[in-house]
Amino acid sequence: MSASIHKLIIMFLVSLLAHAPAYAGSRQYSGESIYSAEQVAKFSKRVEKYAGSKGARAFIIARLGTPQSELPDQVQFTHVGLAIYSRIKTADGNQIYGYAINNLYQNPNALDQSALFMDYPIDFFAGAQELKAGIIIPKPILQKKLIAAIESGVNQSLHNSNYSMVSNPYSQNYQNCTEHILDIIFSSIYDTESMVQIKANENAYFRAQAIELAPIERLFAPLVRKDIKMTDHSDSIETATFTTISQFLRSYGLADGYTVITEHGKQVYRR
Amino acid sequence: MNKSLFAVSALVASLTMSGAAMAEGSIQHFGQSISHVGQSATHSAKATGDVLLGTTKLVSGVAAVPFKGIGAAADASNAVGDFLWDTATGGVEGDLKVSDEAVTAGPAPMFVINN
Repeated sequence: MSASIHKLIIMFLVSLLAHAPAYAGSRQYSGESIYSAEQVAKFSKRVEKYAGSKGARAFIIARLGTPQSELPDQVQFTHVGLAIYSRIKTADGNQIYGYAINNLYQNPNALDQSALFMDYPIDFFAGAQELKAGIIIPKPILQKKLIAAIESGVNQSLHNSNYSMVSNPYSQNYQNCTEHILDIIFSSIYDTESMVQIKANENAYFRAQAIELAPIERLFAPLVRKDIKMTDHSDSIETATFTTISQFLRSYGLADGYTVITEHGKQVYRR
Repeated sequence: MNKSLFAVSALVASLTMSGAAMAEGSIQHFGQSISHVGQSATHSAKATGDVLLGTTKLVSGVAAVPFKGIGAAADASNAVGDFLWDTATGGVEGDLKVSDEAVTAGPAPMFVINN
């Protein structure tokens, strides 16, 4: 190994160690939220009321689990789910109306594995590093198909529990939360549960977000994080994001754009 | 395709040496404040049914089914795809009622089992 490579590796490992404490403190799943429960409740209800005011029976919802200042401009959100307008039975026997969110979550005890779990907006936004929501409201015909997919358990049949944070949406090897939602969307559009067909359609019509990594980072990332895989990527590294899903839906007339709601209630509509 | 670049530092920063300490991926963040309040909601629901987060009542959800319409006629309808889409056009007439209560599901099972 040349001296320069060795030096690079050392510098890389030092940078990892330097960042580790900050992440350890703020992002453990069981850690204290930086927002109070009251703040999260108020924000999540604001998001629900917005979607309700638009008549959205199904919409794609995203949160920011990492401070925006630590992300590149192209990455606006770090977790994506599918919200369905529902009649909710509560523990005290009442029936109320709001949104239930279908998620693919990492298993905290095995980070390279995932499970599906339905929760509610206050759960979805708990622990967010910034109270900011992304909302894509598909056209009604797609909403209808997405709801039917959830009702018939298509999300279960499309679930791949092998998790990678940067999973390649064009392969079946791994799946992250955003790719899972993308697969449900394509399954709904093409009325198929065949992953071979879904991946062929995604390869033809969906444009993923490119990630550029230096070779040494590409080499070391899977070694230090078991939930980052590179074996499903070829020369380029590409993954699905909230924004690329929005671009796909808009390109084919299945949504007009997306809305971002911020902590203080500001609503920004983007195309 | 004009390929945008993720800043290298973003991924590097997301890499930690500890498996327990994680950057955001698809992890469920069930913050302790919500968790504690959520447990309180579950317990209190049996007793009084009231846990307040400021002015918002927190309740524990036990089941949710897609709701396909508005009003009594829609309540009687339960077939897949049987929606009243003419009221879902995005206009005022398409508003969907959202209850004022905040619902919590509690943490997912895999978060509870080893704690």
